[in-house]
Amino acid sequence: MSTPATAESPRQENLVDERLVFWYFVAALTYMLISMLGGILMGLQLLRWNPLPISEYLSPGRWRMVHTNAIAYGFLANGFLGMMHWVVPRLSLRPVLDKRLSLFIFAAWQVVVLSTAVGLLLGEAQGLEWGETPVWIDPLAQAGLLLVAINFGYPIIKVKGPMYVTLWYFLAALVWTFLTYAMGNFVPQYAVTGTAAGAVGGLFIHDLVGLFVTPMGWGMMYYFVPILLKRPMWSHGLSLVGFWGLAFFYPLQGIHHFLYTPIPMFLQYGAVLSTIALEFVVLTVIINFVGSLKGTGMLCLSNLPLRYFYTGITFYFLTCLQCALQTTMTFQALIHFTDWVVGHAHMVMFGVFSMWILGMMTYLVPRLLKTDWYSEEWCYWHYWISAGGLMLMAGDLILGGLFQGWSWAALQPWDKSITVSHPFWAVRIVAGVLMFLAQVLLSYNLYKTWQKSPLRLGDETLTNVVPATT
Amino acid sequence: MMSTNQPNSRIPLWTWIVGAAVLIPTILGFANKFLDLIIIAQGDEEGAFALTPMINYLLATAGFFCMLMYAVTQGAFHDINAPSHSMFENELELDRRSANS
Repeated sequence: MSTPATAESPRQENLVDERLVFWYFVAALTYMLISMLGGILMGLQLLRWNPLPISEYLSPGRWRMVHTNAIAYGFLANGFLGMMHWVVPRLSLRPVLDKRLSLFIFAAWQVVVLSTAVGLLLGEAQGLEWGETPVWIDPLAQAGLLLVAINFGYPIIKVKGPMYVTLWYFLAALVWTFLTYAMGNFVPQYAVTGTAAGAVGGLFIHDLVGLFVTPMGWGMMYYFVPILLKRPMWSHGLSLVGFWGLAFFYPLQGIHHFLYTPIPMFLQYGAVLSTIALEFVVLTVIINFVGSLKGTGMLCLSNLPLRYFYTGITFYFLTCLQCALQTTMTFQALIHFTDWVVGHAHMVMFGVFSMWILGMMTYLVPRLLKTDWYSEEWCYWHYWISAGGLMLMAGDLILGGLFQGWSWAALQPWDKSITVSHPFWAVRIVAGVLMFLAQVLLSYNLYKTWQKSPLRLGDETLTNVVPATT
Repeated sequence: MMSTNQPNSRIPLWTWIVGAAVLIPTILGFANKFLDLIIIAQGDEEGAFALTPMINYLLATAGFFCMLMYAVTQGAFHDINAPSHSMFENELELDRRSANS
């Protein structure tokens, strides 16, 4: 980012395909709703009620896989791709390699995600969490990720001189996601078996979070937070510590998902140590973002997108603290296989990354549609119901997990632990429905905003209006 | 003649001392564990299956190390806060141009 914008610098309209960014957001929210419906279906099954017993294709067990895959590849991937189409050209001052390729990738990615959902419902899942994508889709998804890396990698590597940390995160994520997907979907399927496949599976699950979602999310934060605060980050040097720390400490962590398994103890201890070491790196990132707030902390209350971002940052700190604790062998003995882990996963995926993407959409949609939100009040409702619902769900599952762990530790019969879990699962469904309704409200608000957009109404005189940020 | 405004490129002695204090035990520890890995690779079959994730990690780390060296050659650690300021100025400029067009 050594080149400042000059008289010859390209303009926004030449850099960013705003229409495509919007389409990605619509796709992301659609998959979010589908995914949450799957989660609600599974939540009801835990309460011993399957509302759709008419067909095996509507079995909650299959919809649970749609729930996790649609969030990862439908909501998060589409949200991040839309965001990158805005951020990368503006940071690199170059458009993506080919705008037609961008359109092709958009269409192809929706085919991949829809085919994955159909494949899962038809019972063609692979036996690996988050790697259930049917085998016939894997090569297509892998090719898609390669095209994404080429399309965005081109403007990034063309940047001369030292790069802003967001571009480092994105460049790494483009490579890491491609490699991680290949590792999880091809290596256990075709190359290794047994415990080695388990170890690789652990790496895949966690690397998908740490080497795809995390760098995309933090890259996004390092871009949007200074813009909304109207000042540069407190320390760019500290942000580079966070990036390189992630690069060197993260990849070995995944095996902490398989503590107390036949995987050799030196690998398990390696995963525990690198997880705890990463906490220090996380602290540098948190300090940097809190430091950036110095003197402007009240903006977090008055600026809604910032409020989403800092809520996510707070949840990120909590989840990482949890992570350092729960990967110790003593703690793991209590919470292994319990709902604590499910609560932790929801706090990471919804509390952190989904909140960030939703905050980013709250900021960008008025700029994309050239009009304010149809209802800003609904935006605030969306924030409070989403954050409140998530806090209820995560707190409920974390507490329920402890009760389950204590029940098993006391060697009580299995069905006793189920009885203990029921009240927690009942609260979970209430929280899930609340979070789902919040997303329905956001989607309807988006639709109504689009309806009053000058772009839809064909009022060209208003297309360069930059509305006030919510 | 060198401009007086240029930052002093000499690295302070304490930086070398801290660097050595961190790097020497780390390199020794890594070398020791790497020898263990080679012994496992040459040894019994039971331990050999652990090689897959280890090799995975070593390959990834080698990639990151190459990227770190690339970053050094690109001057990423020279004027370390400069990208943060230029990014911010570019953003303001792009928004100003959008508003004016």
